[in-house]
Amino acid sequence: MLENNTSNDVLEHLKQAVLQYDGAAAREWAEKAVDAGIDPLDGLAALTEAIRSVGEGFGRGELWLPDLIGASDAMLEATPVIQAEIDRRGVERQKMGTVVIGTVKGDIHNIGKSMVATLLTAEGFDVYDVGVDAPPEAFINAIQEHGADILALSALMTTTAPQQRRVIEILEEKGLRDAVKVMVGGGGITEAFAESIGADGYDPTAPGAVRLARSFVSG
Amino acid sequence: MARRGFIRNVKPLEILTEDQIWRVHRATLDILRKTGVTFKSEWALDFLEGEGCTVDRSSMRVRFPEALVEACLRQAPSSYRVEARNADHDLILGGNTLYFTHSAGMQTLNIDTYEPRDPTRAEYADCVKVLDALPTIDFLSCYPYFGYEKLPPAMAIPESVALKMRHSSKHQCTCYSSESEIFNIQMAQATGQEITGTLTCSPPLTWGDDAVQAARRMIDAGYPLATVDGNVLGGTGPATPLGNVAVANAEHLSMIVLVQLISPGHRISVGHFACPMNMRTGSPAFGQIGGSISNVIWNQMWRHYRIPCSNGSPGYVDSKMIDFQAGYEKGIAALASAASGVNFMLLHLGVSAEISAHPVQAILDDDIAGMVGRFIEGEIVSEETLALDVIEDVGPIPGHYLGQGHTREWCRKEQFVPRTAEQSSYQEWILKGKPSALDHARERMEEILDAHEPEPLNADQEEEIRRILDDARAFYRKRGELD
Repeated sequence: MLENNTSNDVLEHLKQAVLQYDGAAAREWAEKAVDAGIDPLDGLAALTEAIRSVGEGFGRGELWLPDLIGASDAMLEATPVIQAEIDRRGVERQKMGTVVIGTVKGDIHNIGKSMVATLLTAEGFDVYDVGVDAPPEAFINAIQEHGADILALSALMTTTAPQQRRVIEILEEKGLRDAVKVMVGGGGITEAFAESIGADGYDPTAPGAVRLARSFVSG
Repeated sequence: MARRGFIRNVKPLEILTEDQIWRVHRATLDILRKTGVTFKSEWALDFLEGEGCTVDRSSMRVRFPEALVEACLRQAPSSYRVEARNADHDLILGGNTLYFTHSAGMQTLNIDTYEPRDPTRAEYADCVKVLDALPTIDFLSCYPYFGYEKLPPAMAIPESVALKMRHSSKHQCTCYSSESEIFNIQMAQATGQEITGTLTCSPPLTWGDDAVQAARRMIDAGYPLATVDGNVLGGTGPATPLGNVAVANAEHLSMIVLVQLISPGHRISVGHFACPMNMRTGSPAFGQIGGSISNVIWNQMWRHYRIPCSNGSPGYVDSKMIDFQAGYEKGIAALASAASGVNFMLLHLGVSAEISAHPVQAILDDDIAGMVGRFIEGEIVSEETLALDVIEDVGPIPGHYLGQGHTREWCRKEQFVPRTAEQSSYQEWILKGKPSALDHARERMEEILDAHEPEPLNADQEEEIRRILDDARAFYRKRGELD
């Protein structure tokens, strides 16, 4: 076990690696933290603190999306190392919830959906990404398999947006509609459209989507 | 006959030197050879492999030999005719001709509150009627609104194509979803016109199976194609316009290779729909000048390639209202595209990004198109336009030009007078109740809807359209996409 000062030093480096968008360094300092016997929950807290700080900078308009994504990617380099140690020790990690996310059938746009998936993961959600051009059955199967709390549907093109309605209709047909909260997003989506198809929530931005997901699981 | 559009008679605005064009071209070929393009179509992979491309089956990535790209590029026509239902509306794409068409919104909107809502079917038809009437709309694009109240999503494209055919005799572009191109083609054949098949790339560097399928069906029907990218700088394309154009070039050229190998000499145009990403929201920043920088480079590259080219971004703005911001975003983008030699652009109709559209906006945009078109038509240099004789006759003060025959003849030729701009004297403006351009546009819309009668389909054509739409409904019911 390291002295507190040294432990704090490692955690600070871990945090700084995320703040400097350096995925390799983040992984390296996560490994050092594990090797040094630092509580993995403290490691996770350092990562969360870093990503929140970036999120706040983004909220103030000082940082832009590439900064947010860079920090999230760096965090995702370190997370598996910390998670493996959590699993090894059998420590209980607080989980925010489970999200199934994907871009609907006919639409192979990936960036917005992946951005939301990344930020949700960084926030502590378990995220299952069914990819792009996903037929309704892919969403339904993933919801059932993973016991999802939230379904996040993306569609960039106005021509494919109605597929979001189709997925919701099938959820209703299968008796699954009440089991998940449905959030929708994408370039061509508006709040009015989201309401018209019976979605539970809509936000035009990726950070907003995370706030929405948090609100779903916090009751 | 064919629509004249505007003829560019000024030197094109250019950003690149000859050497820089070559460097962008080299970068494009390198992307095609080394990085490759994904085709999510087993048929395309088999076909392109058979034609000498290298195919990685696991990633569905195709890498193109440079010589094949160059050969296919040379096969594509540099200009071509496209037939409309009424031959007066035929188009001749390429060269120095500039045509305008409209953009789209998912919905219409209330132009007092600027809140979007679904249009009714009648409003959808009225919008097409206005577009049919506007002199600077040379042809219709894929759709003005995505759908209308109570229209099932599966039928959105076939019904839209039918409405455009019923309320306009101008040529139209069509898109595809769930194989809707089958019915689009049948309706075109039934009404004796060509349609252009828009093929939408999914950037970066990816073509979906549906695009390949639509391309093959349009080629079988003998109809022209128009590829469209959609690269958002910093998102789906590099943040730098040059890199963005190189990636977009590769996207279009990969489809041109496929199309030209299937059908040598097939008519195809390339559409750049680029703008920077709003780095705070992740949305396309439609109104930013970066889109125009990319367009100007793009237009120069494709004039060099001698393939008709288009720009999509002038039709879309960041403004949420019909206001000053919308005017400068559209005006500057349209002028940059036109001056750099684009062959057609989307301009009219779109109000707020891709969210909403309105015919009153299209009427205002008709004036932007008129002004931009007049600008690029430039000047004819002749004895008459130099006007030395009349300058000699008038001399210094007290001479003036108002009473000269030369003035009577040339002022009408030289001036483009916008229809909706408020150009009264100040005193008149007060007496008229201080109207704005927007007020004039609203009035003009009412006048058009009262007076304009689009050329109708004949009874047999109408009957065929109804039958094809019935077939489409049955098709989508069978696939479980329609109740």
